Amino acid sequence: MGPAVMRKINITLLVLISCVLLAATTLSAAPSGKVNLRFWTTHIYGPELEQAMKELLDQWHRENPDIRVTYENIPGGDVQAKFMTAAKGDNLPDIVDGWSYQALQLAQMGKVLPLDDIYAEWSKSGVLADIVNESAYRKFYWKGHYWGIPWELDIRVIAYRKDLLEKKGLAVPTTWEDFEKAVLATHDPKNNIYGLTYAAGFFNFTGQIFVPFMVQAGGGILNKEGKLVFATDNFEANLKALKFMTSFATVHKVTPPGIGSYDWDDSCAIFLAGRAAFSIERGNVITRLLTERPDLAPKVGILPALKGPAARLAAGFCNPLFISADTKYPDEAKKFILWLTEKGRTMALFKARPGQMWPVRKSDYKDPFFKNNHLLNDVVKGVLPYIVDMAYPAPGVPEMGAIDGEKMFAAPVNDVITGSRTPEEALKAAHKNMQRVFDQSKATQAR
Amino acid sequence: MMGRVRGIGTARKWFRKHRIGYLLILPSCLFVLGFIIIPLFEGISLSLTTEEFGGRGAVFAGAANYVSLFRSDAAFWQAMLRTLVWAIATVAIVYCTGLALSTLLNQDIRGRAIFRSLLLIPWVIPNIVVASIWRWMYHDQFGFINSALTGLGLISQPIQWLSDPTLAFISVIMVFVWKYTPFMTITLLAGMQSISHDYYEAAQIDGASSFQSFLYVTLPLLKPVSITSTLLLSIWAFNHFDILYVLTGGGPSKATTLLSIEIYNRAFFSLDIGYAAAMGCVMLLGLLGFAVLYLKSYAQTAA
Repeated sequence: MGPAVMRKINITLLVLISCVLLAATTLSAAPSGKVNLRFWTTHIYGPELEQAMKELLDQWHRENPDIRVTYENIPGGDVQAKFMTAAKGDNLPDIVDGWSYQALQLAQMGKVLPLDDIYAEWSKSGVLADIVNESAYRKFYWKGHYWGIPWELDIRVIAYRKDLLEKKGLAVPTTWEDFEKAVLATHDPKNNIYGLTYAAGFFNFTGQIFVPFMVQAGGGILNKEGKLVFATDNFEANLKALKFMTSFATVHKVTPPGIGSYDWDDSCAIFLAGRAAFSIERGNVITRLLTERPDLAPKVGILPALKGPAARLAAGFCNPLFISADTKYPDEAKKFILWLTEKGRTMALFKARPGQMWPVRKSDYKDPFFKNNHLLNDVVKGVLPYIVDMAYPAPGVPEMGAIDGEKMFAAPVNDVITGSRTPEEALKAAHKNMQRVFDQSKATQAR
Repeated sequence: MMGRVRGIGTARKWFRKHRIGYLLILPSCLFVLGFIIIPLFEGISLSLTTEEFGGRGAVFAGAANYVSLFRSDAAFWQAMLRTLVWAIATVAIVYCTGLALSTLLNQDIRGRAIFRSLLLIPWVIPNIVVASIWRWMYHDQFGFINSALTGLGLISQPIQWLSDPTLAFISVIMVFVWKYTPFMTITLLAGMQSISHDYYEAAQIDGASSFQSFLYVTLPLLKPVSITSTLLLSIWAFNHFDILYVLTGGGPSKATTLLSIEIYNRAFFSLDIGYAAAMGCVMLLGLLGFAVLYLKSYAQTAA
């Protein structure tokens, strides 16, 4: 190959590379005068929700032509790794719809903007008083600042078969004692129906459905000051809850024998197949009943929050919207999240897949949509007024992200169901693991 | 001075001559540098710090992470032991199954090409799909395996494939075996087909039976392929994550929590990235040591 040919090849390569670089730069740049905001969501699953979100953004773009919002939904399995590596690489999006404790975890890293000004405004305008309960937003308060604003709820419920209860002449249970009686009475192995099903596998969901039993027994993971008391001050109460919850599988044997490996989907499939009288679920069971088993839906109800030995409470986890500290456009980002959380704004999302996402504003529940569906109405009347967070009664505690993520309060349920530990041992082992997270966090803060 | 100038001139000429070659390998070099070498050194340097996702900057900690790992981390050592048992069991079963299947497929049987193609199906299915399929196959209420066993009258109660800790560990091993046997079979089959027929004819003339031919001709001549494929498989088994994470989440009662899952949780949920990096480095050293010893022992045998 002669030098002239080589020179031509080199020049051609140079021109090609320049063209590619120029094209890339042009494509990534915002049209002149426009602000480009990146928005990552973690709860917009399924075509109905995606369509509803797209329509919401279309409306935003019509009203705010100079602020472009590009949204991307992050699949569940990728969320934690993607968010943490993005944060470490200073590449978080401007706006985030995150998991329950992500705002605080990222705030610990200095990656989130405090949103105290929004809270001050909401306090004046009465929006704060319209939030379903105080714990829904108190959980985002840490080190004197609010790091996220509440925008949707993820609730835990107990679905039950009304027809099976009626057949046995039983009233809808409202206490632990009644619940136990009803589960045992409706267990019908001859007809292949289990009294109760729930996910007791080594998955986060298992811990989340342990929360209502803990708080109903007067226990919990933390105390009011945010101190870990899982197997210390709250040992007796949590033990009572753990024994009660697991006794259905270990003592009464009225659950499917394999629940020790179930994630929520396995358990839900059994209920949808008409093979269980009661099922501990997420709100999404309503979505699935309405779409997959509309024939079964009229026979199903949602239990009101149960009254345990100490209190009548239920579990509902509020998810936040927050703004990255790296954003170049904090004002525009705030403008967008204020717009998105306006009264009734996100109703399209709640209606797209009924039961999957729940509003955080009391006034949104006045929409006839919630009254016209008996399952949604059961939740609004009997569950929502009683919901508390997994950190209850503590306010914001970033350590809850690791504790939930590493399935530390799912482990006791799983250990007992699979016969690996006694309830006492299981609680103490879980406490030890949780303590490690708090110790590590303390050391980090000290540095 | 003249000699030096002449030397530079020669080097220039040499570079000009090989310029295209260097240009062509440059992307691969950049890839290896960017995605393997730099992350590797980054990982090692992180393991010497208190770097936490939750913190605001790393502090040099020397060997502190390693000290606490070796002194007091029971969960790490339990996961390490589990991973060793898992890797030995999976590699042994996959190798034996692969050897049996490749021997069968090396025979002149009708429909051999179809069997070979069918065999590849598990290998081409993505791991997440594999885990989801098996999750339902193992389901105690709706699973195909329990239904089939019940239908055949072999069991009266469903087997708890994934909720009994011991059985769950065996169940996940079987999924790995199902997924990776095709790789071993195809690799060994290729090795078998490269063995000259002359050896078998010579063995036959010497009066060797089929089994003796297999034992004294096939197996020794398959050794280089076997070494490479089992080494690769050991690395994959040791590092395995996705099938287990989707299938069991590491449960029940942590019975299927391998080192990779322990490291992932430590890094991305506890956000203790420096400590997780130290765990990863110990895992890397273990694997490196194993690979070196394995290849060395093979080299000695071959010599």
